[in-house]
Amino acid sequence: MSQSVIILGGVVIGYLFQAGVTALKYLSDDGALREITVWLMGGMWGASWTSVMLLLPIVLVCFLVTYSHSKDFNSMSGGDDVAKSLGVDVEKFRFRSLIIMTLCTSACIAFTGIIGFIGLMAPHICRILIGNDQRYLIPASALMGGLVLLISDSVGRVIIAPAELPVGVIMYIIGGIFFVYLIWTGQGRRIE
Amino acid sequence: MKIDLRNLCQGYGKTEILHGLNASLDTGQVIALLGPNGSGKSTLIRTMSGLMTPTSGNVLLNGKNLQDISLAERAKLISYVPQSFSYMPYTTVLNTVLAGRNPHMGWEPSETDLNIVARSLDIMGLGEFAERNINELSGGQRQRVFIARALSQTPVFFLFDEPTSSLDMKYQLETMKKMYSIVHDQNVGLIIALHDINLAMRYADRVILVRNGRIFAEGAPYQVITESSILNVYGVKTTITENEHGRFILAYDSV
Repeated sequence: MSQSVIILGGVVIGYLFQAGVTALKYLSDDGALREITVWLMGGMWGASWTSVMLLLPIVLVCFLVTYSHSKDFNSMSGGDDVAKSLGVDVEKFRFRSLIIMTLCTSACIAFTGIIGFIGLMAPHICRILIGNDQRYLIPASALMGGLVLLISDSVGRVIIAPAELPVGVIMYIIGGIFFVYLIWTGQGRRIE
Repeated sequence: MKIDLRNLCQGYGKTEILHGLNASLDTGQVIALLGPNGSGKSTLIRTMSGLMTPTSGNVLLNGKNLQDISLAERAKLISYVPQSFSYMPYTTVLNTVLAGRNPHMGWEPSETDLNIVARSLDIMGLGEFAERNINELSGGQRQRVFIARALSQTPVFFLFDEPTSSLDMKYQLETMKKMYSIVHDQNVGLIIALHDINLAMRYADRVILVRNGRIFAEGAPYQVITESSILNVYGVKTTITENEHGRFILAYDSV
């Protein structure tokens, strides 16, 4: 599948889900509408030890399964044909990885709402810092994602204190600046 | 060990590219696949690598159907270098070549794995680039990295699809010379699609000339590469000359 098909596919699916969200908003009463709006902004209001305990097993299993396939992810960096010639069952591996990533991401998002850019920024920062060996990149990205979220949330809590700015808003601002910087400095060409 | 093609047909959708090929390809030989664009060389290489399942007929590796051999086992026996490359930025040359050891190694590379990688880098003249990121290299240097990755896979058969296309004259000759030595010293096989007929004349033990998905001629280079066969297959008028260094082909007109 070509990159343009994947991008166009993503845009189309994005519009479809946007239509679903708009329909939900339209059908909701005032209370539900407020909850939907807050969830869509993304934030850490729902953070509690109960949610941590609920998320932990899912995230841990997804992480361990992904981490155990680091070698296969390394093989995939040479493209489908090379990965296959290095012994990776590319179609199965890609499908399994998509399922695991979807499970992990959707489980987290269910508690926090939509917080964009972490999944793009954290691996990219780590790739610049430690290179692309997935044996180190996967755990480093997981830690970096947590760190970026923690910093953004802290900023959101103090920047207009005593009011609190949702972390999702902060992430969109930081993420936007980060990618403009990458494009500006020419490193955007290396985002693949 | 050998690869046998038995009445091999291959295609994309309803378009058949290879029409019933039969051949037996042994180790200990450099086998050059020659033919014009679209003749089916790349398709043949991909099919022999197991990347494509034949539409009919078989590819046998030592008598066993290639598709019945597990991917993990196949990766230890065949390494493939494609015509076009993709890579991840910020990957070091060392890690790219180390990926060739993936079929053999556990979680961490062993001393043996690292030695093989170091030797592969040396063979391709990449020792000094080991810690450089692959996106910082030129196209030709990158191509050498991908050949080094195939070398570190230590297979029985190397299947290369135009691996010298981005290399300058010196590295084309050096790469072929080194691959020739590896093939004969280690008794492995190299099946290589080439456009440079002079490279094939100089380094191939055997040439398979492909036209329109069929084998037009095969045998020793001096038997297969003749002015009339090149005219027939490529539609190009040539002169073949000979001096103390060997035989050379000069193209001077197209028909």
